Parts: sequence; structure tokens; C-alpha cells
Amino acid sequence: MCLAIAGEIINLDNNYALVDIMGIKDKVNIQLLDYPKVGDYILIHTGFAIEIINKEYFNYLNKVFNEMIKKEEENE
Amino acid sequence: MNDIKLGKKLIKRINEINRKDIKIMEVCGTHTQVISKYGISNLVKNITLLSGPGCPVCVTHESYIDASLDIIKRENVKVITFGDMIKVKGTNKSLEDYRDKFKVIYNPLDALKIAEKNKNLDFVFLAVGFETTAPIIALTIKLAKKNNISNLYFLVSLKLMKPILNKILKLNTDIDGIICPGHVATIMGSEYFNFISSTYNIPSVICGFEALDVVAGIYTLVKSINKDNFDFSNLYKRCVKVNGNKKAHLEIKDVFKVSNGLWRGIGEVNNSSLIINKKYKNYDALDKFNIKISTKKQANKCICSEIILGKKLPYQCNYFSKECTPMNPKGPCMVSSEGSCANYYKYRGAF
Repeated sequence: MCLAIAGEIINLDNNYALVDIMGIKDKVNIQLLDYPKVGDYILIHTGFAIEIINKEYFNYLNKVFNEMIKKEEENE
Repeated sequence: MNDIKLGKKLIKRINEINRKDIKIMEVCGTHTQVISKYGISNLVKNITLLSGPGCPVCVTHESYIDASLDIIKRENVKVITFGDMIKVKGTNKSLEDYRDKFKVIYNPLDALKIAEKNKNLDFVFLAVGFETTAPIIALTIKLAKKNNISNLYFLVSLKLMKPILNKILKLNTDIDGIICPGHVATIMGSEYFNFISSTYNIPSVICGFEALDVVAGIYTLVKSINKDNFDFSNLYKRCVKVNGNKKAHLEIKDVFKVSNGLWRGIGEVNNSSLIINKKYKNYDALDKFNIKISTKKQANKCICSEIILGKKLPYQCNYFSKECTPMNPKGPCMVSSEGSCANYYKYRGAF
């Protein structure tokens, strides 16, 4: 039940944002966010945004774990 | 997010590195689903993946359901609920037995709209969940107050992850590592789960909800376990900050206070739930309808409690896939799509 989905903010209107969630547009409450901007990707739980997704870490897992495995393979 | 090539490499490395029979517990219903859906348990050798108390429906006490049924039977009162709750049985019955008396919603703000449109009726929202949902319920209660909505009340069963993890790790010392719930961590911050490694000397990892997130989490734990380390890592940095969502913390603090909580099959756990504080007590359904939640232990023949504590697996229950199925659930772990038994039934077949 702690399921959350990602969406991109396409418009802001006071406590709400119009969000594109995989092609579907929906109104999401953004009162729990600090300074959301159009273009931000947000994490949505039961109609409320609970965090702005940090784009710097979009590829964090791929980068870190590919490097880690490469090193392990080289050491063997 | 799901780099299949990397996922395969990680699974290969997990099986090469691991030299022990180990038990890893996850405590989020969505992780339970990901592990079952992608068959991750079958891909990793000598690793038992256990589902802890991460599904709010599965841990909702019979007495809470009985209280909601007490309310639903009253005249001019309707119940509003998340869909997962309707099949969960109390002592005898479930909400499903009163089909014309409840409404299912996804967004708690819809409860405000329903109440505003039907001023001749009273409504009670069944506010269940963990720390992830708590700030949203808090905001909804505050909006009800702000908009002077006087026919909406909240029957709250919001649970806290830290006290129940402490309870489990004290009771079950066989657990070698913990996959922490990513969205509870989004609200509470990665630091909230640091105690697992520092207190219980086992590794723990915060994971997201793609298959790669979970596989990377298992790989990280297996590496630590086989080196006898007890590292704590946050692999869900795209959504989890060190201190979490501070606005959410303020909302929780403004509306709720910490209290002892009743967990299905486990009983009372100190300081493990949130209840409505004095400031918002006019919105508390317990006060409005003069209801007391019974702390009496319920007799239950199924082994959901042992499953939640990580002591047994679903197919070790005599009722599993026989008398207890998702169509006719006997225990709470078979009710919700996030429940351990429901996932075993759906993805691994009946035994």
C-alpha cells in the first residue's frame, strides 16, 4: 500500500500540479514538496506528491553496480 | 531502470559470492510483489526471502475491522476505505458483507468531496497505512477542518515501522539482512533505518521498487553477509534523502501523537502507532461513535502471524491454497495483493 508512481509536472496551480503519468494527466496535491518546478519528476502516493525525484541519481544503480562488477571480474 | 543485462550479472555474482544459507527479510508489500512477480526467489541460491509486516492490510488487527463494522451498521453512516480493506475479516465478518454501506477511494481527498456532497450522512474514513501514508492522512484531516467539514471522521490505524522491526529482530535472530521499505524511507529519511545495522549487527539496505533495485539490494546484502560486515546502504537515492521529507514530518507531528499499536497476529507493540491528537480530536471516529478498540487476543488457526515474523513460509500453513485462497481468504496475508500468501498463491501456484 506504500505504492508510489512517478510523474512529470507539466503545470503548477497553488497546492496542485498537473502531472503526466506515463501519458495520463492527473491533478496531484503538492503541499508536501519544497519548491516544485515544471519539468520536475515527482513521486506520487495516493494522489499526493511525497518527493521530488533527484535526476542526478536516475542512473545511479546502473553506473555504480556496472563498475563494481567490472572491478570484481578484473580481480578474479 | 530495468537493465536486464546488469540484473543477470548481479544474480550470477550473488550466486558466486554466497557461501551460506541465508535469510533476508523485506518489510514492504510492494517489495513482496516485485520479488514474487519477477521470480527473484527462484533465481538466487541458498537465500530465503521472507516477507515481514510490510502490508498494512495484513497487520490491521481484527478489533479495528470489528470497530469499522460496528460503525457501518449504524444508521445514516457510511464508510470510506482504500480497496484493499474490504475483504479483511474481523472476528466474523468483513466490510464486503455490507456492500451498500461503503465507498472505495484511491485519493483521501475524495473523502472530503464525498462528505461535502452528502451532508445528510456521516462518513468514516478507514485511515490505514505506514509512515508513507501518515502525512497524507494528516493533511486530509487538516483540510477537513479548514473547510469546516463536520460529517467526516477518521478511524485511524497508522503503523510505525521502526518499533515493529525492533520487535521482529529481537524475536527472530535468524534474519541475516533487511531490505528496508523505500517509500517509508522517502518520508522518514535513510537515517531512520540506520539502527538495524548498528543495533542488531546485520546489514540493511534501502531499495526502490524496480526488479533491478531489489536485485542490487540482495547483492549488496549478500556481499556484506559473506564478509561478516553489517553495512547500511541507501540504494534508493533518487527518492530518499538522509533526513527525509521535513514538511511531511511537520504534518505528522501537528495531527498525531505516538501510541501503543495493535498488530494482527503479533499483539500490542509499544509506541508503534499514530493516533489523532487533542487538537484534531473532533475528527476521531473513536470519540464520535464512542468506540473502544479491544486489545483481546483473537484466536486464529492460520499461521499469518508466524509468516509476518519471518518464522514460516506461506505453504507451511495447513490452510494455504485449500481453505484459504484469494477468493476466500482466511488470514490477512491472503487478502491484500501485497500479502505474502496472496503472492505465493498468484506467482508460485497452489501446493
